[in-house]
Amino acid sequence: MLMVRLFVGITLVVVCALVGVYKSRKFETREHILREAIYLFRGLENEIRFSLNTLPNAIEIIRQRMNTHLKDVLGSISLMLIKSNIDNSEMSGELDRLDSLTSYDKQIILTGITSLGSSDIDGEQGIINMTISSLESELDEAIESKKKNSKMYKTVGLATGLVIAIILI
Amino acid sequence: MARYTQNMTFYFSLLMYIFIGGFMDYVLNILPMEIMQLVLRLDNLDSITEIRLRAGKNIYVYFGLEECVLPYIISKMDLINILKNISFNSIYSVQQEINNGFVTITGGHRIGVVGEIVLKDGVVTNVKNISSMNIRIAKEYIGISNDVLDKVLVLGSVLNTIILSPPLCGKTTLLRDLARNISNSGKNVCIVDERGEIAPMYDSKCILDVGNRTDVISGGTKDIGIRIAVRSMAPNVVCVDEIGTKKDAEALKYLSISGVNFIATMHGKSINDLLLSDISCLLKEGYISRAILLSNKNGIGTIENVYTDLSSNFRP
Repeated sequence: MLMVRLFVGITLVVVCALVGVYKSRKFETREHILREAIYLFRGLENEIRFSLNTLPNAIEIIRQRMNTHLKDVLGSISLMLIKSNIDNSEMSGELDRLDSLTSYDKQIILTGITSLGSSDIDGEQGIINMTISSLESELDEAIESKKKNSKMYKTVGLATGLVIAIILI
Repeated sequence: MARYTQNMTFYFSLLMYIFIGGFMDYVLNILPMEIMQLVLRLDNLDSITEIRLRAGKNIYVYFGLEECVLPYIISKMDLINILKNISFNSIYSVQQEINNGFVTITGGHRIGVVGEIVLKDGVVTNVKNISSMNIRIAKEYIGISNDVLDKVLVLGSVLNTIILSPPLCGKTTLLRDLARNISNSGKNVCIVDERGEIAPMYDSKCILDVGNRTDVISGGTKDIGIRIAVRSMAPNVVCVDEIGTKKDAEALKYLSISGVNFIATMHGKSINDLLLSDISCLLKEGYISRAILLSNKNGIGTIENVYTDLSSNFRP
């Protein structure tokens, strides 16, 4: 009986700690995705200004060097951009797959991508600069948030698991 | 539900067209959905030669010299959306072409774009408030040069030839077919295609048949292209479209001096227009041996006259 209790207790601690780790990971993932989003727009700046590459091509080239979920999302977006008569809600739906980002983060990326391609090079440069500066302030906020919450979630997860296990045992 | 029905209608129409097949597929792809559906309802899609779109006006579709008005008023957004579709949602990538007045799309179709021109130091830097577009459908007519080939290719050598006509009379189409015929007869032909009209390229291959021994230099100006052609490809014949400047004349002289023959097109209603143009020196100095005059009297590509003794008649 004691062995069963012990087993249940350890399992609870492990599960709660894992939930804590999972929650804290979200903050780290958000930071990584935002960094890659900034990298995307910096890359687009080069591809547009110096190679006059079309958006779908440019996004495809840049996304090959990415590691986060943003890579898959950008793959779908670059395919959408090849088609005529694009529906922005489809793009928004793709970005919704990035659940570690806040809705504001997604809005910045979506607005950035959908605004691109409608003007001349100087206009594109302006849109890119504006998007990057918005993303950078979001990144600062994400880093702060990660520092504050990441450790907390891990500790709370482990502590909750321990408390429940002690009460049960 | 409405959007679903609209999409279904569109895909059905598109499927029908793909099933039938034709020249228009690249053009249909760039049109906004409502316009595409209207165009798809027309009979003889493959006979369309032009689609003219003007902001605030109806759509005018031309079947050669016949006109058809479609019941749709074009908005400014429609024109911008077409530009976005042409450029894969990257208008900046075709900015230079827009500044030059037209964009060539896959399939060699040319889209003329006009609006309010923005000048800086005398150079067009942008075209804003786009007001009109003219979609000209490129067509391939294999064999239309057979009747004039023996006038251009004499005793195994190609004579320097100018094809003259007003717009929309089939100059480029005749030039393309001449290039194909000459190339297939064993000569190395180089097409210097400034605007991607004679030999539109896609994925490093020419979409239209320009012959088996033909090289294509696209983009860049004609004079630069001609010099590259002579230096790097050693052709027997060079084909160029729409010459008209002194630089073009100099480049064609350089070709002749280098022992390379040329076939070129230019705008004009008669041989006198050639004499009044900036390239008249070519005629006066005996660099041109043949001139083919086209019109659309009996349909596009009507051969009005072939001048065969130019070098003696027009020398001062």
